Amino acid sequence: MNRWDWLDKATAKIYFRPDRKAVRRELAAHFEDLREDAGLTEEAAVEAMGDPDALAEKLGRLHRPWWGYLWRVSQVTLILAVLLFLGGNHGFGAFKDWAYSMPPAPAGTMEGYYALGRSSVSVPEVWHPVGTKELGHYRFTPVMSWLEQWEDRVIDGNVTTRREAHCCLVVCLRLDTWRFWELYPSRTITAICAASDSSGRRYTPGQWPYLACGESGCQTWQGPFTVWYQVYMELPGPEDVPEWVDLSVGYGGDTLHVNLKTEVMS
Amino acid sequence: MAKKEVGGTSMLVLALLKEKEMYGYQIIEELDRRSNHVFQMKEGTLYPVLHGLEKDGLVRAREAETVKGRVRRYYAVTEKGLRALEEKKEEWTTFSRAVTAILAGA
Repeated sequence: MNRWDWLDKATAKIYFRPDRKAVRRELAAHFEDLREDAGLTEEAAVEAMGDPDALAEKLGRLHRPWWGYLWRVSQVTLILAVLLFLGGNHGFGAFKDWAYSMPPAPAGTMEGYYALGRSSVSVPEVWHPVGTKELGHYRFTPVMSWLEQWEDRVIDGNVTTRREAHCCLVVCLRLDTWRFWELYPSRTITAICAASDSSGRRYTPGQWPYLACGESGCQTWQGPFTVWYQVYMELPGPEDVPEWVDLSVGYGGDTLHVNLKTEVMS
Repeated sequence: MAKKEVGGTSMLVLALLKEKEMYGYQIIEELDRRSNHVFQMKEGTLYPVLHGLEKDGLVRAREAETVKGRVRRYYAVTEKGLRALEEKKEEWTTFSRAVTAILAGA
């Protein structure tokens, strides 16, 4: 029998793999000491180490696998508990809206709302669609939608040469996932742009906040388990508010259908 | 928690480790040398003793790499191990005096 056979036999009754590897490593080091420090041959070293089967029985009684597995389970449980603690809507969410609470939004229909990226606008309509949509490991929740109206003045010198009326539909969504690593570093899931609406209009990505009619833009706020979106769609006018919008998620990925008027999300 | 019984070999190992931390081969060599070859253990049989002492909290272990890249596991006695050793030494002293007294009259 060589030392490797001896080590296999001596550790055969240690069923918890990390313990078996550690004990084997220790016994192998002892063999090295016998060979190098004591100058024994391989055979003599094996003989000096004693009966491997008797040793295996004793080591097996000492290194019970269930202790080791219990330790591993407790480690995994602790990690899960920490994730749940931080995990927002997927657990007991101590930091329910990690780093970002609801992004800026009007309290209701109002005048003089200081919108993101713009100065004071009026908000003639607000909707609160309900429901959630699961797309793979992601859960989308519509939070609210509203209409923004404002007027840009084009000034030449001290004279206002013309006024441009703008109307923008804003859809605020929340995405939750426990798979935080999929939000980093790839930000594919953070790309949402309005694809089409019930009027048959298709929106092309534009340069927010300077959107032209028929263009869309998106702002995001991100925590470890949550992404907030505000999708902006530039409408021809307040009379052209669609009943629903279809948003494409990711680059050519799934479609999110948000029904504004009937307050149901499918 | 019930007090763990320390056997004879364990007592000798704890006594050695009280002086300094040692690894397995070193412990066997010291036992052999200091006992004038009376205590000669099979090399492998030391490890259940060491692992049992570690499990009972009487010794603690650490791994260290030697200059030759060999990983050795060093054992050192704990406070609990020192208390257990002192208790065992008292028992042994009492026992050996009793044996000596009986043999002296024989």
